[in-house]
Amino acid sequence: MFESAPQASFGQLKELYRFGDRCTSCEIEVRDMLHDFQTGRLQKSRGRLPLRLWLRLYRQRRQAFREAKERQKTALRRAGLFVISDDRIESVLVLSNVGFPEDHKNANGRRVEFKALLYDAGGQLVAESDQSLRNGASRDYTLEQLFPKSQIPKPFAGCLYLDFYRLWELGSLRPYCLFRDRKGSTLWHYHDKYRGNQNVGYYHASPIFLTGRRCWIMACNLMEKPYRSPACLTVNGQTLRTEVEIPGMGTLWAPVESFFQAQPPVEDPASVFWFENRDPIMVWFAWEKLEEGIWTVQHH
Amino acid sequence: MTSNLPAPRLREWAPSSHIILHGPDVRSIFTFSPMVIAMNPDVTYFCEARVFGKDPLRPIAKFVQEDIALTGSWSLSSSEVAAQCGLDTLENYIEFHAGSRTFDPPDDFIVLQVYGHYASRDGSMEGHIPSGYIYGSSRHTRRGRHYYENIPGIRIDREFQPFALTVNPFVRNTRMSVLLVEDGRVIYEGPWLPAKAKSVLRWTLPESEVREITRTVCLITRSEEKTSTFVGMIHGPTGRIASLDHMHPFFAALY
Repeated sequence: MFESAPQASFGQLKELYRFGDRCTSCEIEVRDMLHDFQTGRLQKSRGRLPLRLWLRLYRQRRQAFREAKERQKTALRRAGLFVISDDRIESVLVLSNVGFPEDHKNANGRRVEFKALLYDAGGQLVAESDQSLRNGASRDYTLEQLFPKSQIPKPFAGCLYLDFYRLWELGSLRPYCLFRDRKGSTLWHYHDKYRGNQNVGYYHASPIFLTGRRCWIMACNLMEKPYRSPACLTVNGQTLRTEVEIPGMGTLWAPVESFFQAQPPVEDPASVFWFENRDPIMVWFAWEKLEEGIWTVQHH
Repeated sequence: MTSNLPAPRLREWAPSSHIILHGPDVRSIFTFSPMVIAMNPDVTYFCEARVFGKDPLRPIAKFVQEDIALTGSWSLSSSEVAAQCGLDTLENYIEFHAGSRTFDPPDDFIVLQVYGHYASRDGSMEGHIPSGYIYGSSRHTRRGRHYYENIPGIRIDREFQPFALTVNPFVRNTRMSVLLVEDGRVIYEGPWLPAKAKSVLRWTLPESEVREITRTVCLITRSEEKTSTFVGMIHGPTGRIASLDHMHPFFAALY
């Protein structure tokens, strides 16, 4: 099927052959196989095609490969992470540039280059640097290591963007941060949530109220304009509303309960918090286990 | 002659996999809100939880909640599950199937995930993680002879040691192994471990692999079926959990 129309889009093939109409798993698998085929990774049988057809396919595939190479030169892949550095906790970026285990070499070459950009809570660009990571490396970077030439204010809460250029595939490069407490007993992983204009679901978290734990929100505005939204909290079966604003490219870091004029319950497993505005932002939630210094961080 | 079969649906809501932990020191709370993916306020949603024991074909407990509003939520605690199963401790596979009875997925986001929150008295198990994809997510991912997932920034020294919880959501047994990669070299290749059908496999770093100096590596899991693995780290001196998150496959594209 792929060889019959090597440059066809997934949508065109789907319409032509009606695959993936009844099973979304098959749809996803065929779409990935098409991607592998068009990037020359899918193994196919040899010697069965007439020479003329084989030559035509060969030329088309070379053309597709050249075009993909051209796109790769200019394609930008941005990743984004909330970062914090104060007297209790700091964020440490961790990155691995590991090739796919069954490949002979890393598809992204000997090293990967990226630009790191740091915005503060008010949305101001406070630091930037150019970095590279060689094939196979897995390393961590504190904000000081990432921006050695910049003076980062303390305490600091903001957003870190990583712009990757000339990537052939993302592979293992989706970045994580470690949420490290200064006592050295927590190294909590949380990963990039940059998704551009792709808009699915609502930013929400549940449960908010658990015994002995406080829930914090970490939100980074991806837009140049302010993000304004009703913030809602359902607790004890009652829904509370308030308005929240995050400056353009700015960051919010606060306990969820601080937005509302209500006495938080000790525990409510069905409590839910959400933003009604689905404009592009990145949101994580952290649960602080009071008095023990254990943090639990996750996106929603 | 007309067929009595219903017309095929273009897409259907797919289930997702998770781990339930319960005992004297640890408990789990699972919360579901349709807002995680859904956006249609005009329909109601359901969530079904099935807990499996030794028999992959017959769940030992089943819970269903219907008529959940878009901004509503449903929670299920491990205490309820343990009470229904008549067990004191649980480290079992739990499968969630959430969606709408009247509204099909409008795109290839077909899994309404459920978040599991783990809490412990002694700090040995804390976490908040989404359920894992069983049939795939709407991403371009790579696979070869095996399925792979990876996570960076894993410590393998006296201060922090990793552990992994692998979920096999299928009704057939499978195998998985763990690789540790540093500077492009595989410094540890674990044995193939059997993961029984609809069960949870726990892996911990062998004592012989714990390094005396600080070491940060990339952890890769390799499995014969599309399992989901959650990786955490334990703070050696205190025995408390220091990290828990889900892994990612190797992405084939830039998005």
